[in-house]
Amino acid sequence: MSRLLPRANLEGVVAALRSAGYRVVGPVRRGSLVTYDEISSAADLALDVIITRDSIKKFVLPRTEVVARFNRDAAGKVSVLDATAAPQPTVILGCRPCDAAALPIDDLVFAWDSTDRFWFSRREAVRLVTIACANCDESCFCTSVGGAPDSPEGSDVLLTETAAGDYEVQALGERGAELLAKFPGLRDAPAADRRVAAVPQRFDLSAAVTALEKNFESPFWRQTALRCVGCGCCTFVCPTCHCFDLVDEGPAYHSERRRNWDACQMKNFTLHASGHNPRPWQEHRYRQRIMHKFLYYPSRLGRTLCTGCGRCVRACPVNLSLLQVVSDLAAGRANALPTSAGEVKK
Amino acid sequence: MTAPRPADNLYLPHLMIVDAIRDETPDIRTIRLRFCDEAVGKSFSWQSGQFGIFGVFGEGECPFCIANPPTRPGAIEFTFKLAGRVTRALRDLDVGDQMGFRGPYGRPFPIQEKFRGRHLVFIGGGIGIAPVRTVYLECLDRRAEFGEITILNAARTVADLPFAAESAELAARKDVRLILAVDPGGQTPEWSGRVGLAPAILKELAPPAAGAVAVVCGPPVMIKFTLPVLSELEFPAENVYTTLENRMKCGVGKCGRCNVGREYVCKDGPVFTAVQLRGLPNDF
Amino acid sequence: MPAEGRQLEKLRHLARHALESGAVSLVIGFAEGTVPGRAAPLFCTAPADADRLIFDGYCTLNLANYLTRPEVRAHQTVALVARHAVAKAVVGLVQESQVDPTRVRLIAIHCPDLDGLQQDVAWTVADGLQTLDEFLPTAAHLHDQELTPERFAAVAQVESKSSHDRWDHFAREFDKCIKCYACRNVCPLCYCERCIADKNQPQWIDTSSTQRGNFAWNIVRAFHLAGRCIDCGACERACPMDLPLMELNRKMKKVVAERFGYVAGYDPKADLPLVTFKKDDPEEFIK
Ligand SMILES: Cc1cc2nc3c(=O)[nH]c(=O)nc-3n(C[C@H](O)[C@H](O)[C@H](O)COP(=O)(O)OP(=O)(O)OC[C@H]3O[C@@H](n4cnc5c(N)ncnc54)[C@H](O)[C@@H]3O)c2cc1C
Ligand code: SF4
Ligand code: SF4
Ligand code: SF4
Ligand code: SF4
Ligand code: FES
Repeated sequence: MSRLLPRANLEGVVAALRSAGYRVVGPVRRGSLVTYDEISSAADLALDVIITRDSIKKFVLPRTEVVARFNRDAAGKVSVLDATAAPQPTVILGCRPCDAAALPIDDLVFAWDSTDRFWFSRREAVRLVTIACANCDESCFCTSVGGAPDSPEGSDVLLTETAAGDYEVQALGERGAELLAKFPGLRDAPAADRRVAAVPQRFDLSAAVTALEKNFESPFWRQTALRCVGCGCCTFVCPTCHCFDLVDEGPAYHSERRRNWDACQMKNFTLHASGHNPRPWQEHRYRQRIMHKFLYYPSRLGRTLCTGCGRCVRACPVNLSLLQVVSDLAAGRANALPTSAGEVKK
Repeated sequence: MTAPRPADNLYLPHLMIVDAIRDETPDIRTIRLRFCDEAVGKSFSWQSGQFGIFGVFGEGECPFCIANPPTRPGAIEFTFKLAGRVTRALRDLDVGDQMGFRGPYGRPFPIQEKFRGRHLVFIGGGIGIAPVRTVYLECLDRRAEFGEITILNAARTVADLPFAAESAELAARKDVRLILAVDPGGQTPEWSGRVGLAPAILKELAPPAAGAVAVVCGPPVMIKFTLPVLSELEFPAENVYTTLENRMKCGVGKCGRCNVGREYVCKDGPVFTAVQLRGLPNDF
Repeated sequence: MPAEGRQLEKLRHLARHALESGAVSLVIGFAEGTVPGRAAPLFCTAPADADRLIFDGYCTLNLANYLTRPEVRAHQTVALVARHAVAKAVVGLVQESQVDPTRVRLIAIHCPDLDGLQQDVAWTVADGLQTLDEFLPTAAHLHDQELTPERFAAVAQVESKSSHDRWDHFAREFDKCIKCYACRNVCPLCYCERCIADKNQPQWIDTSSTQRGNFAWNIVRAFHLAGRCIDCGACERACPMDLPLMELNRKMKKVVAERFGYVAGYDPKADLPLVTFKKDDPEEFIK
């Protein structure tokens, strides 16, 4: 026996959650773009897409947020004000497993010896109702980094589509049970066939990690990154990338210190005031991205910093596919370089 | 208004008041701060080698080492060189103005564990003397615990040598050997110190190396050429210390900006030994 | 062999021969991409690399963007697989003294304007490697098609809105921007070593992705390209948030054409309309 949410009741779930005081967000179509946005009805949900363009990261780490305010009075005296993050209770309905899995991974860095209150207060306010993936595309690779299209990791409630188009529901932990109690119209039903995508294993993660350990200095990086234009596309759509900038902005009498998304791919990221740049070329910046996700982060914090959502692969304007690059590494292509494609004499 | 509690909000600075300003060179300045909230000031503690993130409200923040050692408490000092936006704004501050500070961050020099009972050599180039000076000030304040102390302070020109008055006092002391040096061409007719590059002068000085500790900070080229000289002089690499400087934002291992390989300069550094340095990928 | 297959053979042959003969040391073209809608830039330095070259309707990136990269500048002579938009960007770069025309060759592709929506397009490749001067006459006739009303359909739609609705429209669109700078970084004419968006003394543009920061960035980007944008659409296709950047770029293009009778991308010797002082400027904006 399992608990079943008839598809037609999704509307009731949205209504119930909204009247329980939650902001409900989910994949919403705006023209060509599907992003996570607020919905008022289940009819707003674009559940047919493989995955949204942006990730759920923005609900826990907004692209810009105020961390402190500085008020200067007429006499010039400054008061430093804490920016109180009182996040809105939010349910993400129709989250993907590869998005949900990103949050526990990033918890590690935001709790690393010191606790980032902004992250965790938002984290507390967000509930994830994940829908297991029934379909995947050529850029999905969750199964290669320890995930699965029906993985419950990070979710509070997991919905799995049945052959009849209804959802089998599973509450995870206390938070999940509490949330599920608010779902109207659940019923018991015999276990039915579930629709779960078959995501092929695309590379051997441990082989890729071994290759990274051996290939900090390798022409592979130049060959690979020559086409990289150094934008922040890949890192900004990524659910696990968490790097940020802190800047002061606003009028002199009411300035704000803001935390903004930032990306190791941009050349300013590490540029010193002196003009010295520890990562002067794009190949160095690209290497940092791969090394950080697959070698540094796991070795410091124990988890690979990638859930295989494939967003960076789809979004890259120059089709520099992380999936391809990691597969190449795993296949030993950095050790034994093929043709001279991409090699440039200096 | 309730007093802000930086402990809750990692990015909330302490409110500080500029107590004194001293120009060290045309572009290097020392600012002395006190905590607006005296109670916070009293309970604040740090160790030599740790740094803080200093900020001008509305302009931004940047990292500097805390320039006064814990043996000289009661204030927070930092010595900075004009570089860009925030350092320019810092130069516009007057005594009595307010600014922000958070810290202390990073790992200090292991003075207690590794320096005591040994001969010490300090080498600073340019603004790199700032972190070195914090350590030698502490060691001088605890003079009896160490062997011979040698300090080499090198700058491009005579005008670029900071801490002139303090240096004059040190030069007069019998229990410390201070060498001031400027790059060839940087000397004035009256210059009585050395002329030459730090690595070459160090080689000439050949300070006692057996079991000794060396602290070297300066521009990357200086470090690059000084480390081999130290190893030639047979300083054990695990006793050679330097500080790394990477661009930083958070200071607490979150913003992802300061790593060199697996090491985060803000958490694992900024103090590293030459042995650790050798283990780092070439990414700094 | 179907026509496209013959063209592909010819393209690869030209690239291979250019490398073999030493005429160039690098050919930049496209290889098969890994996702629908995208082709991957390919840097060929060995003749055998040419076998991976392809061309189709997904090859929309503007490869002229790479000419200003230091790694590419290190080459004496470089050939680009160049549809018309790429060649127009080369014109712009030469005009602005960013690229030495004697060090660039084109493997010219003749095809309709690509919008990146379909893979199949009819294309042919020119008979041999061309210099910019050799190429220009073969595309001069396209100048007449630059200002056809179809190209400005989206602009006309925005123009027809009330100023209030227009504000709403752009506020909504700019709100999507996440400041990833992909638009800038793929643009062949956005080559500044230090972009105004990266300068902090003074801070011209708020770096935060707030309404203020986003408006400033999107408008400044478009303004800095006024009279220089060659209408390739690379920026819009790169944008991960699907901002309609060509609405702005084409509006600029239209105004520049109306006011200065100028269309970018045809004459490497022309004066740039917005940086050229003319005594007889009407200067109606100074009241
Ligand atoms: C641990 C540590 C200790 C330091 N101690 C000192 C010191 O005692 N005295 C001193 O003069 N300098 C020191 N520096 C260097 C100093 O932080 C930079 O010179 C300063 O950040 C330049 O800021 P700016 O705003 O004037 O320059 P901008 O070019 O306007 O920089 C903008 C921002 O980039 C960052 N940034 C730029 N350059 C650096 C850099 N080299 N290191 C770190 N962040 C940078 C800062 O966040 C800065 O606010 C130290 C750096 C580190 C990492
Ligand atoms: S690196 Fe790419 S595939 Fe991995 S989590 Fe980030 S966006 Fe997804
Ligand atoms: S890949 Fe780059 S942007 Fe992403 S978390 Fe790692 S260092 Fe930060
Ligand atoms: S602004 Fe856009 S359309 Fe214009 S040249 Fe640049 S990339 Fe091409
Ligand atoms: S590419 Fe799009 S999202 Fe990125 S900065 Fe440009 S307009 Fe904004
Ligand atoms: S300064 Fe932010 S991680 Fe080190």
